[in-house]
Amino acid sequence: MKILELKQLSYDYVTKVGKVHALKEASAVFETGVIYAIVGRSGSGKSTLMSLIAGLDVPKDGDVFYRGESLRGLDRDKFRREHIGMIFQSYYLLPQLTAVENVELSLELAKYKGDKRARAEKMLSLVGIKKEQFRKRSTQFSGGEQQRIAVARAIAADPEIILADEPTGNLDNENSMNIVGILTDLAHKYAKCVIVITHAAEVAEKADSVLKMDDGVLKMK
Amino acid sequence: MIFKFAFRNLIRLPWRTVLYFFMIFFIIVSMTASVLIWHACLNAESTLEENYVFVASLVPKKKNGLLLSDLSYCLTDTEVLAYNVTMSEREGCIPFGENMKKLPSKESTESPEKILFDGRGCAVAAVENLSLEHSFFSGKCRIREGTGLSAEGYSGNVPEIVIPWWLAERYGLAVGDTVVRYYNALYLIGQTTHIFLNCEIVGIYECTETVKNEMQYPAYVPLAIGERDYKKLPNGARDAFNIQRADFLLGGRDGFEDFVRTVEKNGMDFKNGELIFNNSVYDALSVELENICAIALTVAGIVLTVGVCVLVFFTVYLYHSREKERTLLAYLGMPKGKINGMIALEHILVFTVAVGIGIGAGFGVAERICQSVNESVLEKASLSETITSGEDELETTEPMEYPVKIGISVFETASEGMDMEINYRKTVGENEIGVSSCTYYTVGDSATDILTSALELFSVVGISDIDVAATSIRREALPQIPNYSPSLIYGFVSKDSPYAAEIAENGRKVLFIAGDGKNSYVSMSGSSLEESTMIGTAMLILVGTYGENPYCSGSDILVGLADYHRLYSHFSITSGGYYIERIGAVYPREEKR
Repeated sequence: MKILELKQLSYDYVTKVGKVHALKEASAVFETGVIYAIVGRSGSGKSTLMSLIAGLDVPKDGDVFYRGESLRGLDRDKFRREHIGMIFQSYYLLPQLTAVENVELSLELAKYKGDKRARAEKMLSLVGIKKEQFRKRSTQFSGGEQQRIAVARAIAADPEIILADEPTGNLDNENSMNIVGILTDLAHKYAKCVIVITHAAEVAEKADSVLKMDDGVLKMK
Repeated sequence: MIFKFAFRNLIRLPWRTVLYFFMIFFIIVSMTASVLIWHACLNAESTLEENYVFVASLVPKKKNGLLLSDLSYCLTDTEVLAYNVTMSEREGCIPFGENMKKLPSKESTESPEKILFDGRGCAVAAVENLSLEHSFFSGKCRIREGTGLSAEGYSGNVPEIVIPWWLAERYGLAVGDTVVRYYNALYLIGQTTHIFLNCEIVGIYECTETVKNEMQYPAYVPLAIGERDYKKLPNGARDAFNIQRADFLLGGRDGFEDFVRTVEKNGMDFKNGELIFNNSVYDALSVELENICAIALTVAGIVLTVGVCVLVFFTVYLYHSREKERTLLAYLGMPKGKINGMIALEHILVFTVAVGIGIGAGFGVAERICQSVNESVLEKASLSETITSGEDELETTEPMEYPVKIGISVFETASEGMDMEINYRKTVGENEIGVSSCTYYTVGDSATDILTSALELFSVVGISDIDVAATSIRREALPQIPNYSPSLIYGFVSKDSPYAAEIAENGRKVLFIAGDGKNSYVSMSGSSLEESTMIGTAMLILVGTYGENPYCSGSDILVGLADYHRLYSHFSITSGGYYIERIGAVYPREEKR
């Protein structure tokens, strides 16, 4: 089912060197239950696309539609809280919080109605974090574990869209495959729309659909 | 929610919290301490200015002392709040003759006025301001019992005396006792005039240091009493009056320069004397206070500048160092305003606590520094220039220093100032009326009547503005009187006076008057005491009448205040031109009208 649609997205920004056309009329459709991979070399506009999809930024031209509704007309903070789950290359776990608190954080922001602690613990268990590790500070975990906590945080509020920006970039092969497996499961078992930005060919291979970014132009591969 | 996040962050990131806290804490402590010390110094400076007794002293250049005219030049300055001039028999000023050799016995049942006792006497000095007497001002002497000379005494209304401790102990005298000053005037050829003057002991003073010769410490009477008593001497006994030194209490440090300018402007040529000031301790203290002020301000300035820069830098650094956290929270859907609000709240919380504790600690640090400064700097400054004088010298050429102490404190400026009563000069302002009076005898229409006329007591009242008494001739019209001379004294009588008709008929009446009759004039012939009439005379020209007014009535004769002083001076120790003016009372002009 179509959940997200990009229509003729263009985005420019100015650097010391000059004006950069990060996105040029990029268009795409994303559906639930599908894992997408967006590949492309560094500086091709992948991260810009990510922030536009998440509603962190507004495109110069074109628009992003969530279930047919333009993000320009939505409360984008609320949109992110309720419908987007983010996973980053460098995990972005808050070092002052424990594993369970990091997950709880997204629930607090999403104003989750139920038992936040129980939900957070459930999500951590789901991604393979042992119960005795729940109250350890996030800095005490390995890279793979931290990314799994990040995944748990991303899915805790049960968003429909999971955005993962180079989720395996800092991980070894085994951990990478674990994370990819989790993301694939999220798409296939839990009917999430998972969009993964990656350099890694083996990650892209696991995706149901691969899009390529080349100098701001998005193409189906 | 942002409160919860902010609190959690502060607790979970202790190094950041503690670092930020201590940075602000040290800035606040330094700022608070510097500002408090600066403020304490400013307070101390104004306290010093208020409590310091600024004294200009007129000291002689030559051994024979100063002329009264020099003193008069100085007293024209309105900055002079009080002054002191000391007269003593040694200087030939107080009634000439023997010292206080005869004292009443407490055991006697007879009236003390007529009892003479043998025994060692005591020198008597007359002072205008006992607290400005060198030995009292410097703290060497202090009143042990009683109050010291009072305003009533200084005005000449009550014959008071303050005696030294040794005299009190020797004769068992106490405050409230009456003693008789006894003078043996030897000036009349072939005739010895004895004069007995009653005085009430109002204070006994003691010396705070061990003294070698206690006899050097005299008894003190008010100058006005000394002058009045002097009238009781025959004319020939009045010697030329000169003074050893005069001290003037000034309104403040700035008054010194003004004082010199005024004195010069009024004609003092500085041939006989020079002016010295007691500003050394004040200057030493104020310089130290200014230095501390400057240091405190500099520190405050540096801390403020550097502190604000460091604080701003560190705050910005902390904000930027949390970019990942801010990005994450933004991706998690936290509005930007709340993210910044949370970070700002964290800073505000730390800032508030650090400021609160910092100010408290700043008070403690400032007070400790103040104590240290007091002990190490100000105490030395207040003692460094204190004049210590020898006992034998009358301190005729040294400035007068009071051992003033001042200490800075963030809570209350501590100072030890002068605690003695000062006899302030009465001056007449624009909207005030100055009134003085003295009792005299009329002796008739001519100088020869002095020996034949019956003496009649009356009061001469001097008013700074005679017009307020509804006089028949206004002040401006006085020069129009036939044969008017500014050197003569013109007076007014009551409309009901027997003289009024004669004045109305002839235009004026001349009266010859003699010194006051408050005390008995006695002379000793063999063993008996007899009244004496050896008195001086002065001429008073009555030219008009006064109406109903609150200042004089009945048999009083009204004159201008300046004329009153000239008349008074005729019978006192001083000459008419250079009389030390005293105003008895000052009334608001409107109120009394």
